[in-house]
Amino acid sequence: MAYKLIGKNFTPPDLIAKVTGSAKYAEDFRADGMAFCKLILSPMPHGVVKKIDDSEAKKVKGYLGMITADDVPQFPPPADPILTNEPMHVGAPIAAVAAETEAIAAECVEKIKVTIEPLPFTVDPLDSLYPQGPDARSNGNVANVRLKLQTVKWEASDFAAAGDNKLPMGKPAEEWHYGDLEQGFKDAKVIIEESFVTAGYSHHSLEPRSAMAFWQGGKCVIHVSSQSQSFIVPGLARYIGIKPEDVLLVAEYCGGGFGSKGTEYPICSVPAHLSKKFSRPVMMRISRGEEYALGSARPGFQGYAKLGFREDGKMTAADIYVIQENGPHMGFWDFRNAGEATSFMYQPLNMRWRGISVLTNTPPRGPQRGPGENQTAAALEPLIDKAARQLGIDRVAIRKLNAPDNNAKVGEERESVTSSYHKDALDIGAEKFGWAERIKKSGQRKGSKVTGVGVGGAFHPAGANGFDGIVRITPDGKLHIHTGVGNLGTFSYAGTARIAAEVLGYNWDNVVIERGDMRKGLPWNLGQFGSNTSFTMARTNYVAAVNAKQKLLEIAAKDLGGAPDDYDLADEKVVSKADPAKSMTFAKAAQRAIELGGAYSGAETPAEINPITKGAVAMMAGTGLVGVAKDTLPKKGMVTTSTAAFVEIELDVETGSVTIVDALGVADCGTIIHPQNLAHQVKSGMVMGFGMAKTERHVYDPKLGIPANVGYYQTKPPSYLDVPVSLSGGGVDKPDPQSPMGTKGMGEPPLGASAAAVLSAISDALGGQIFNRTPVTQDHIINALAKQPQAHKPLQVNSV
Amino acid sequence: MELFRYAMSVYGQDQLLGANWDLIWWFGGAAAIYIVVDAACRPFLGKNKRKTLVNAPNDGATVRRHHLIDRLYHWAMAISVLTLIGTSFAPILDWKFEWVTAHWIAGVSLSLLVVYHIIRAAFWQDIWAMIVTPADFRVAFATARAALGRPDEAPLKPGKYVLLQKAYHWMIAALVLGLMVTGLTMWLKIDTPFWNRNPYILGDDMWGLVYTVHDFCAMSVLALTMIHVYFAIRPDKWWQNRSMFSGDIARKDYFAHHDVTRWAPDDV
Amino acid sequence: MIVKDVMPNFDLFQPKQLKDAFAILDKFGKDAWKMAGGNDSLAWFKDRAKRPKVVVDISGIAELKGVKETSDGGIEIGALTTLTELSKNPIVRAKYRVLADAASKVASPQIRNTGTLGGNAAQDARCWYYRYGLPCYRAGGNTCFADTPEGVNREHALFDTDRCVTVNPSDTAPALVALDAKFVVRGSKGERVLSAEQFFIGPKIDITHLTSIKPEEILVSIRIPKDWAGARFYFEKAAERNSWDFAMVNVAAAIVVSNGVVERSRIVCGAVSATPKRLPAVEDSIKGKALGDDIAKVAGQTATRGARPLNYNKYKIPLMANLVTRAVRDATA
Repeated sequence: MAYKLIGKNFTPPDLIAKVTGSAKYAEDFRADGMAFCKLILSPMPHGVVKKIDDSEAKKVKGYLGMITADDVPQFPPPADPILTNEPMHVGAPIAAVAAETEAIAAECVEKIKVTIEPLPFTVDPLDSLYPQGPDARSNGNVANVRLKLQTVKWEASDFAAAGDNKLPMGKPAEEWHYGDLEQGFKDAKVIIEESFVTAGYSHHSLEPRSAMAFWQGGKCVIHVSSQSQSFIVPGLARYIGIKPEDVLLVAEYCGGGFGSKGTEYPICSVPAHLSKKFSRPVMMRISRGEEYALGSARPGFQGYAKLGFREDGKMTAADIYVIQENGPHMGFWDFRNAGEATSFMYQPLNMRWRGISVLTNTPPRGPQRGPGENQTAAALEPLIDKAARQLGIDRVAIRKLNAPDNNAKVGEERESVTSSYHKDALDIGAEKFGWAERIKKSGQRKGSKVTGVGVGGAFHPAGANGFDGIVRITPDGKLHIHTGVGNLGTFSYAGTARIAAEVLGYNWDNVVIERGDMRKGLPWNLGQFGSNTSFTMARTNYVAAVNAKQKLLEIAAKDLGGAPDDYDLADEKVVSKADPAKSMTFAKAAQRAIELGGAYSGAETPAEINPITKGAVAMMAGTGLVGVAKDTLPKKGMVTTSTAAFVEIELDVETGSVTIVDALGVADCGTIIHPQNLAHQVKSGMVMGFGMAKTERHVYDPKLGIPANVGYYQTKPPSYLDVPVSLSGGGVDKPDPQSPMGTKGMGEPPLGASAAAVLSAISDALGGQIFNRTPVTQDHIINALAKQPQAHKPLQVNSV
Repeated sequence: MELFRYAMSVYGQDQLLGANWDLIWWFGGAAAIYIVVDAACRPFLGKNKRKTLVNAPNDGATVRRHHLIDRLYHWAMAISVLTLIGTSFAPILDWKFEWVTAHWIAGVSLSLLVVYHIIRAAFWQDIWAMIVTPADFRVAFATARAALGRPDEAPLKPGKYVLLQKAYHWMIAALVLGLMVTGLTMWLKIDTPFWNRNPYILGDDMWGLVYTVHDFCAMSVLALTMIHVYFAIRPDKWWQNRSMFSGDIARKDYFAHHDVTRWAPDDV
Repeated sequence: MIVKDVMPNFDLFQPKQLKDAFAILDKFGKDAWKMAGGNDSLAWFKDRAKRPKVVVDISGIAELKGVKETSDGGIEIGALTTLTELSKNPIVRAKYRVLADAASKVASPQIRNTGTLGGNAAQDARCWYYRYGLPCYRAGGNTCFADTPEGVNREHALFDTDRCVTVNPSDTAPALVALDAKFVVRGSKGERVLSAEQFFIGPKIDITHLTSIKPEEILVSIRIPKDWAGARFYFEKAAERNSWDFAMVNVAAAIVVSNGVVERSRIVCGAVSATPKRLPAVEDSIKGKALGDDIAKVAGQTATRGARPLNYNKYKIPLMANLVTRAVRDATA
């Protein structure tokens, strides 16, 4: 189907502000009488605060005071606290100081004496699971979302049975299976059995989570760095201790979140609390080091995989065990996603998944771009390569054979999918990349450099439903698309807005996107995370536009005679099908809607919409023709997206250096809304994947529990010069049947697919050697080339 | 004046590192003042000599005060101590050179010498010669009276060592033992064939104490060594100090300065 | 409590003349901190780990900038010459390419635009424990946190450790040593011209500094003698990223070949000890020999003799050996 806007490149409205620097992020706002906050952070990995004495700070001119854990709402463990009396990682916020300037605030923090009694700590889940091992919290060592906080110790015999090189597998916290695993392995010709480690690491959002808040007429105006808009309001209200309708959240721009700012997070409520206490606007600027400590991080895995393959390459059985390093708090369910991802990507005939989420005294965890799915890709894809080598099958072919399609099933429940074109992604990618030709170069040595060619794939769910859309046509003829999804920086808020414009046949120049500030009237939308926007928001904008369209037709019928069905929309006019001369401009219709009132002007709202949406409509009632609706379109099965990535590297056998010389990613993304933007999303995800594969990881001194990586130059996300100029990205461009215009999300898998492809290529260059670890750093490769043992133990985590 | 050096510990607490090195000037200065005052006052003191019962002829006859082995011990110890002082304080006072190896070798040598000395003193030497007794105080009192021009009727004289020498010995002994114990503890911080370095064997506080004791002992030794050298080179003490080279003092001086009942050398 | 990321106050001096800078340094002594490009200084201040009362920003002293040829045929490089200028300078490129190559590999373009040769060569250690602000030997404390039973010391030293196991992280320092550079340090009391051996010092001599510049002195220039002009050169930095990273190991070599055999050479590795590690045994092993793969391989093996790896840095041994092999094998005029 040919669209006017969908599938065309355009300039998202926030882009120019970002490029010119006029975009205002949370830290850029100022308010009269604004005070500054500085946090008191735990210097130790675990302890109990015994005393906080600010008597010396009180002598400093400009000191306003402080708040401690006792001054802010508390939540049942293991929820992430706002401030805490039991710090469980280095950098955990204990108290917050307010002062006239940031410099004074810092000086006061230095003068405040906090007595902390140290408690045992751990930076390795296996140490915590060992009998009598240390617990990250005084009240347990295992927890996650929907996994209650508890203390779990395995038997010494579990560890003894495994030895040093294999994952000990005591009683899991959760497990599921389908089919007959034993039979699956019996049917296999080749069985690959490996233990692996994927490192936890930071998000590196360019904008740290600074926030500024002040109170106005009983409401809290709060500027935060957020991926999402309306979805975080209820949670943020809970952190501040007020009703959702009293939170006026401003979050127009977000300097990167990657999942770490997808939902509400506790620290951004601190300026609201300080502001309330001292009756001043308060700015809290978060530094890079603080962001690494109290921002969010990807959980690491210590895992085990046993995979069985038939002679033709079909995966007959998969047995997966994942121990997730979850930080000290609630964390995120990456470990569960490992099972889901395995079941989707390879469609194994029989499968078992087991997992446990163990707490450590390292930064609190949250979702990071492909949480669990991407670690799984990095861990398992090298094993698929190993199987392909043993079976003598091409590496793309074995993936294609196992790849999901529209009949794919996911997870324990064997849930169906809305669509999956991963085979197409592999085909298109292999074709564009010239796989058949490239693999001839595999292992060829030129000087000290050996060529390696790799392929990888990764998955993520890609959409949800049930949220509300609002569009509004004003008497000046403009279409206002109100979007509460947020602006992570992917521009999908704008891409999906074009769905509404498409429905109404709008000229894009006449469209205004209302967003970024709850005072603009923003509907209840899902947050901008989980690769969902291009599906979820497509539907809400679609239903709102359809609702507006219906109202336009009705108004025309009322004024011009006939029935709504007698009219159609064309060139921003309602036009009679029978007599094109009989028409009404959208501008005129908007004016009429105001006069008609009721549902037309937003004076009345549908019963089923969320209170936040109702509040938003109330704000704009009477300003134009309001289209508002809840997405009740049918949906069955899981929306899925996956990416196939292809990478060519040169590995220098004298220095262990890996240069990525070419890389390509192809996403199963439904209908492409915005080709240029899609390419950027694929490419940027792949760049993150290079970091996952090669350099990024948490490093801790196990004796002191302090982090080694507290600056960009230490955490080592890939630099511009580590990315090949030829890096390219694209999509399959086949519509998803359950999305009004076929669009669905795609943001997360490029990362995991590219990480897997890089690892696959490294392994290819080294003649099939696998490391069972991410990242594979240069020193690992040097050690392997020199045939000397690695410095780390196979299952060691938070290590170099 | 700060007495100690502090740092922020790993976990942000005040952590004792050791003595404030600026105190070197105070310790050195105190010793220098003692020396200057002593040197200035001495010409005015003790003019009223006590009487001597036995006036031995000035015939060149000698009495053995220090055996060769003890002299060798003394000089080996002196070299060790001076090396230790030089290798520790010169770098602190900004004269940079590779000091650590010489310092620990001298430290270990001194430790071995001290062990040797304790054993020899306990079994082969007259340990009582160095023990402080009430008689030493009577002698010291009498000497002080004499120095102030009020001689006793009955002459009181010391055994082999006067009270101040004994006090000096025991002070140095205590300081050197303190330095040895703390210095050898620091050895745990370097790799040797017998153990790998492990600073976590003690906590921060304990290490702070170890260094502080070492630092203060070292500065005290510096001061006492200055005083020792001063007395060693005073001409009026030469009758005695020559024995640390030759082993002997003059028989005349033996009778003049010592109580023969309290110190009877073999050759008298 | 510990607080980071907010710079404390200090008095800032921005002298335009060297003599004014000396007057300030003489007045404030150890309380003064000399800042050139500021890339390292500002990070220390921001973390409140170094807290000088007085900062002397010398970046405005014009006489310390630029490259000039000297009467004896060598060149003299002002200490404040930026790394970008240096890497593009035609004389340096033509005669002493190894230095231009090294300068172009430092950090990132932004840092090279403000970073100076003097600042890069005299930079402080990058041991993460030290940078974390811990009270280690280098920070005036009583211990090393990196060299412990479980210490994380991947970036640390293979050679010449003494309590502290940090390395000199500079990329330009090995190149300067390979060129037999002399370091001109000056104070109000006079000038000292130091050889590399005198300029770069390890923990044995001073555990709290990587160079012998005194508080009242400023590194004013670096002299490169003509001896190595136009030699065969090689520089390589092995680092995990192509930008904004420190070397795992780097190598700089200057080799003079005449009549088909090596007449003389200077080969230096960085990031393996607290000073740039000159490798006389390697230089000796190739002297008088025709360069080839076998000789290069022996050179590599010779280079790492005596290395004492820590928990996590054994990889540096083969890496260093291979880099030295490459330097000998691939050095070009």
